[in-house]
Amino acid sequence: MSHIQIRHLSKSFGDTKVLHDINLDVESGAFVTLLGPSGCGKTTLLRIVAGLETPDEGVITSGDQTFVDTSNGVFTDPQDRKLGFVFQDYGLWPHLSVAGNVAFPLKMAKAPQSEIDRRVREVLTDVQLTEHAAKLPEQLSGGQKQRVAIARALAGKPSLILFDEPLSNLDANLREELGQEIRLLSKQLGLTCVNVTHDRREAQILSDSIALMKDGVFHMFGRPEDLFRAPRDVWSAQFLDAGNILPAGLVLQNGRAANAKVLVPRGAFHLAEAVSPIQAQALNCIFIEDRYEVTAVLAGNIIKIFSDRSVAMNDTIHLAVDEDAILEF
Amino acid sequence: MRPALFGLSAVTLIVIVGFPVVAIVLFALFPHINELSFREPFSVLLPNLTRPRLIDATINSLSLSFAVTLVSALIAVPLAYMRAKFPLRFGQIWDAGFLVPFLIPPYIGSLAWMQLLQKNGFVEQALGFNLAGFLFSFPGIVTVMSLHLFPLIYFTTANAFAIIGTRYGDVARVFGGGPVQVFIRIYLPMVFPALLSSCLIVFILTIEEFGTPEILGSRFGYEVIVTAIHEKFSDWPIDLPGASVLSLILIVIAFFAFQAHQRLSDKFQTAIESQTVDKRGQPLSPGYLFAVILIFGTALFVAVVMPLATITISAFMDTLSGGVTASNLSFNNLIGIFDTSSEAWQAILTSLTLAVLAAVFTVLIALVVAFTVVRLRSAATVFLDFLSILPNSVPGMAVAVGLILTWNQTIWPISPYNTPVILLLAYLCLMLPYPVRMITAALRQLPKSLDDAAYISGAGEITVIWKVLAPLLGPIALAAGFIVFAISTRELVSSIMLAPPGVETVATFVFHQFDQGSVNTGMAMSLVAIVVSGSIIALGQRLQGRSRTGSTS
Repeated sequence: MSHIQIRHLSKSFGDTKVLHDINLDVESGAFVTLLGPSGCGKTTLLRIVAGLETPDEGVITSGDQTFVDTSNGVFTDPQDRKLGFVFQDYGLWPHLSVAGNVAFPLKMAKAPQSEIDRRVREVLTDVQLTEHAAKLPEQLSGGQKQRVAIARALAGKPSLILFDEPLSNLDANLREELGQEIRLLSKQLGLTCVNVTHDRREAQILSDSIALMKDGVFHMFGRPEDLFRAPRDVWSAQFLDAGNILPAGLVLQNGRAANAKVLVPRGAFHLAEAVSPIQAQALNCIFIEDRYEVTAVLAGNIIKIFSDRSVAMNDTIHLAVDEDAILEF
Repeated sequence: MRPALFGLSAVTLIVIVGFPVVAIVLFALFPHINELSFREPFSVLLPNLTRPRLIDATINSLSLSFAVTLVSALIAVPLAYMRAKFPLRFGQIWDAGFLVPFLIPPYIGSLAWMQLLQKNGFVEQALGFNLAGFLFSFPGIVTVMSLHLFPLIYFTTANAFAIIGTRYGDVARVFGGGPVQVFIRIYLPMVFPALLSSCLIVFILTIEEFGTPEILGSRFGYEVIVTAIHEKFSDWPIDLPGASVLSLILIVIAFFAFQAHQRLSDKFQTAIESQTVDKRGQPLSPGYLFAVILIFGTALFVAVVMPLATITISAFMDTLSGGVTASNLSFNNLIGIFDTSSEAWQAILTSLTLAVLAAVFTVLIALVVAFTVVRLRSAATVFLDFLSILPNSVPGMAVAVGLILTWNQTIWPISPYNTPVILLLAYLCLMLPYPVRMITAALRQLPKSLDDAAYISGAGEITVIWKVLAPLLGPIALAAGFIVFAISTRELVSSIMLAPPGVETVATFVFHQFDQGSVNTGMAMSLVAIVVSGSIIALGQRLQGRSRTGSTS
């Protein structure tokens, strides 16, 4: 059953159209990410779902509640949408304690004090911050602040949680760790989530499916692996950093216009055992995770490949290519 | 809720700020507008504009303002340049001294100078000669006003010198510039926008000043626009359209001066790449240091010690003619003020009540206006922003005239005119820019996500203002309130023009005591006013400083 339905949504700021006829279904319990470069309209779309902006046209429904329907002038205020929202800069109120921040949505819903106390303890346990309940936000680290923001978003048991680049203010290690936690938590609690980011890695860590946005439209939509394995065009391949984009003539012998672009995933190149027609000049070789990553120049194109052995800088390397893995645009 | 907040802000600002200003413009153009008629348009404007008395008053106002600005700058710039070379700690002592003139309301300062220099004044009692001829002349007024206003230019310019630092000058020295050349070719052009923008403030304050020209100028028939307006209301028949024409001239001059000031201060802030202040200062040779101390000491003695000492001594003197002798000094005047049945005590109560109300209301209005302007951006925002800052360029006298023109009409079923409420309206209009500017600036520093998070959590606009923003803006709002309070307690011109019969404020009380010859009671009251408003301003500044250093991360 789809939980959130967005139909024919459009929005302009002045003369610039930021969203064109957007349609999206988010299944109950799914984690969807709107991924795209800055200015693609993703944040506007999220803010429209939250009710912080109004669309020019379109309908958004959540379960049996209509958030907005421009055809008959329905608009539900953000405070009545039962949402959670996790902000990029956390948006924690500096004058309230951790518990005070988390309790705020419950107080707004006029929950009884006993219920508020119980629920605050519960969500702080979920994000492993029980011992910090009395602290002020300024006494917390960046990761802890974001956990508080998540706890606050969870507190009112919302049917939908929106994330605005939740990991972008955190350093790389923490980003990975907290990202995994958010994903696990969302699955355990069966949360429906919509996330916005320009960082493909953040999208990969969190999402069940990704909407790749460009110039106010959904350019691609699908599971992360589908997007990364089969980007629709050169732009998508480049934005997703899906592999090496090369003229077809360099790697394919048969048919095809030699100038047509193809995508050669980094794993599709191997260091050849013997002399090969595909030769490149090694620029750099670094050891990352459990293998070497070699940067080289292939007929004027910079390429990146994985290798299990080291290569000396400036060496000529001979490459074999797995033609089946090549994607032609 | 949003349309309601817009409506509330707009209505409040239109009533408090819009009405008086529009009334002045309408009356100047259509003298019969109070009969709801556009009959005989310009019939008052054009004849008035060619009347010699008005032209003289305008020329006097302009020449006085130019002269005061020039003399203030001539005193302030050398001091500011020397100040920038001091080590910080040492310089702060002098700065504290130069803050004192801000605490002495200008009319009290003028009265003090009269006490000093007039026939049989303190100077004559001590040294055997008087300077009455100098005091009651154009150079005399210019000197008294400059001594009061130069600290404004001093502080702005000293800060500009400090921000620029020595590095630009060092570069010039390396390329062969001598000290004088470096000052003229490097430092002066760099501080020029800041200098000019503070000069414009001095210009505006001079042209809207009532007390000093009234006290000193009236003795030798020197009339400026503000005193001419006052005259129009004291001579029967009252010439309302004439007063509105004069007020309009005043507003136009102040408005353009203020616009220029804003441009220039923005320009200075963007022109300097790094705004860090070099706190070390430079080593000074003993001879140079001695000369600097002498110059600062003289300035401080003339501008601060002399008037302040005069006020203090006068406050303790039983009779003016008795002179400064032990038998003539007592606490009688001060005790008299705190006699709860006295007029003085009533005036204090009136001023305190009005000041507290003005502080509370302006801060509340400023909170709502700041929220509407900063957070609920819309087409109307520009208009609200304009209205809330407009009183900066509307002199107190013009506000008073505008309020009289607005509320002294038969069309209103009830009117605050002739009640103390009209004083409150005047204070609200005059003081509103202070809290609006402070709270707006503070609100811009708070991330929007704090509001959004509250909306998402189920809060409405009122809850966001009250539960989220108000606590965070609390310290700055309190500081703004203190400043409004302090300035309200000393406000003279609109109080004199608007106070209903039998109602006195501290300022009008002091002013009238001098008219009646009870100089020592007036000085005692002045001393109380200076101490009270001074400590409140200091408290407000401290709070503001603390809220700025307390991080908003």
